[in-house]
Amino acid sequence: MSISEPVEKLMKLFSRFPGVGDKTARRFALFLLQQPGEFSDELASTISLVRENTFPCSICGNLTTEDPCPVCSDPFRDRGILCVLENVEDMISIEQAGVFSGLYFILGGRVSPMDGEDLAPERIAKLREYATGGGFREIIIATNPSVEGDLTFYAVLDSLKTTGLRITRLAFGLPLGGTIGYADRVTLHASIESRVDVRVPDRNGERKE
Amino acid sequence: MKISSTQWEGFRNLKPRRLEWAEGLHLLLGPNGSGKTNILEAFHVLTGWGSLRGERTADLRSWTDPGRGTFLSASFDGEDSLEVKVGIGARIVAKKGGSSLRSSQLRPLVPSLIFLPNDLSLVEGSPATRRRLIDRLCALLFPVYALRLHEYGRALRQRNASVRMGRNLAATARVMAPLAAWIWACRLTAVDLIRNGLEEGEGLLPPGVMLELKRGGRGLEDLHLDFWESLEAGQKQERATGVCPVGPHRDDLVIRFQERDVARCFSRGYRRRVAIALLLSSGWAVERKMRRKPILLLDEVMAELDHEGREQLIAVLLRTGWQVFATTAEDCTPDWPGRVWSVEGGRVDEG
Ligand SMILES: Nc1ncnc2c1ncn2[C@@H]1O[C@H](COP(=O)(O)OP(=O)(O)OP(=O)(O)O)[C@@H](O)[C@H]1O
Ligand SMILES: [Mg+2]
Ligand SMILES: [Zn+2]
Repeated sequence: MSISEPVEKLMKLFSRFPGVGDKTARRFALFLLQQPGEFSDELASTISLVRENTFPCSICGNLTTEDPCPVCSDPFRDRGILCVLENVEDMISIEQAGVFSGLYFILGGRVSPMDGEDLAPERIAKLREYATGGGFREIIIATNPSVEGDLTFYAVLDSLKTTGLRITRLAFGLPLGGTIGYADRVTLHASIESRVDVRVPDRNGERKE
Repeated sequence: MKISSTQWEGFRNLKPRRLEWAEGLHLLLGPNGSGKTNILEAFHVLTGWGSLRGERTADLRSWTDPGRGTFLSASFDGEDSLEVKVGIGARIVAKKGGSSLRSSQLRPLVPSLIFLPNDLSLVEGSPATRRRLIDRLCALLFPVYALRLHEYGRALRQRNASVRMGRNLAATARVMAPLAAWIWACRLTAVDLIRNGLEEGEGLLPPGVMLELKRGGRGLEDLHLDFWESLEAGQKQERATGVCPVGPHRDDLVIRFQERDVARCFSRGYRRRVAIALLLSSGWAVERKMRRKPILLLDEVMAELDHEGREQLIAVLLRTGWQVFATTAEDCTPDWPGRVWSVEGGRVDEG
C-alpha cells in the first residue's frame, strides 16, 4: 500500500460526491494536501458551519440559513403563483435561469414504486394547507418529464383536486426522460411560459398527443 | 441511401481499414469467426442502432488492441450526402459535421434494416421477435418512438411494482394510457405499410398472406378507451398474477395464409421466406414514407433457403435497387450479381 490510510479515506469521501470518480477524488485529495494549511482549515470549518446552520425553509422546503428563506421572504416575488418541485436542485436550476418569479414548494421526493420511493404524507398535507391558505391563483406542478415525474404529478394533482385552484403543468419542450436540473435556460423558459391547464386523464378523457 | 466509404479502427476483431463501397449487392464471404457479423455491426452502429442485440458497449472495443481507441466513420450518399463519425468509449457518440447527433436523429437520415439469423424464425418464434420487426420500422418512421417505447416499459415496471405492493393503480394507468395509445397508433400504421409492401415481394411468397396487428387489448376502435377498458377488465387477473396483462407489450403480429396461421401451415423453408418478405416489406415502407432507400444488412440469410428461394430473393433484391450487405460462410451463390468480398481474420479484401 503506497498511500497512507487517512489520505485514502479522504479520497473515498470525495469519491462519494455525485459526478466524482476515483481519479477526480484523487486529484481533489492531492490538491488539498498541496495547499497551505489555512485552506483546509477554512474548508473544514465552512463545511461544518454550513451543515450546522442550514435547514429546510419551514414554508417551502428550500435549503436556507434563515427562516423563512430568501425567496419566501422576498417582497418582490409574485405571491399569487406557486411552483411545486421535486427537489431543491430543480429549484436552483429554475432560479438560476431567472425564468420564474413566483414562490416555490419543494416536495423533497418523488413517486417511484419500483425504487420504493414515495412522497411523505406530511409533505402532501403541508402542500395542501399552504396552497389553500396562501391566496394563490395558480399552482404549477413542475415535476420532471419522466415516468416518475408523471407519477409524482398525479399524486400531487390528486391531493389538490378538490381545492378548486387553477392547476397547470409545464408544457414539455423538455425531452421525455429528461430532468429539470439538466434543461437549458431556453427550454426551461419555454416550458414555463407555455404551461398548460391540467385536465385529469381518465377512461373517457384526455389524449396526450 | 448508400454507404460509399467506411473506416474503422479498434472495432471488435476488424483490422483498421478504409473501404469504398459501390451501390448494389455486396456479399461478405469468409469462414466462421472471421468478422463478417462484426462488419454488419459496424454498419449498424454507423446508422444509429448501436451494438447488435444490445450487447455491452465495452465489448465493441478491440480486446487485443485496446489502447488506441475505437472509431468508426462513414460517408453516405444517395438522396442526401453526409459524413458520420462515431467514437466508442463508455458510450457511443455519433457526430455529423462536427456536432453530435442523437441516435434518434441519425437513424432516419441513413435508414438501415438488419436481419439476423434469429429473425429467420420470426414466424414460429415468440411474439417479441415479431414485435421487434414492427418496432424497428416504427423507430425509423417516428423519431420519438424508441424513447416512448422505453418510457412505456418503465411505466409498466412501475405498475407491476405497484401491483406487488398492493398500491393504488390509478396513477400508473394514467401514465401508461397515453403512451400505450400512441404506440398502438404507430404500430397500426407500420403494419398497414408492411402489408402494402408485401405485395411488392411477389415471387417470394404465394399471394394471399395476410397480416394483422393483434393488440394486447380488447380491440376497441378508440385506442385510448380500449386501453382503459381492457385494463379494467384485466385487473383481477393482474392482481392475481402480479403482471399487467394489457398493453403494447402484449401485442403480436398475426400472419395468416388462407385463414390459417402460417406458423402451422407453412413448411420451414416457406416460414423463412415469410420472415424475409416481411423485412423487405419494411424496406419498402421506409422507401415510400421516408423517400430514402434503406440499406439492408443480412446476416446468414441465404444459408437457410433452398436454391429456388435464394434465386428469388436475389432477384427481388436486385429489383429494389437498394444497397445490400449479405454475409455467408459458404459460397452458396456462385452467380451472385454483385461484389464479393473475402473476410479472413478481421481483414477484408475484394475478390
Ligand atoms: N471486442 C473484440 N475484440 C476482438 N475480437 C473480438 C471482439 N468481439 C468479438 N471478437 C471476435 O471476432 C470474431 C469474429 O466474429 P464475427 O461474429 O464477426 O464472425 P463471423 O465471421 O460472423 O462468423 P460466423 O460465420 O461464425 O458467423 C470472433 O471470433 C470473436 O471472438
Ligand atoms: Mg456471423
Ligand atoms: Zn422558503
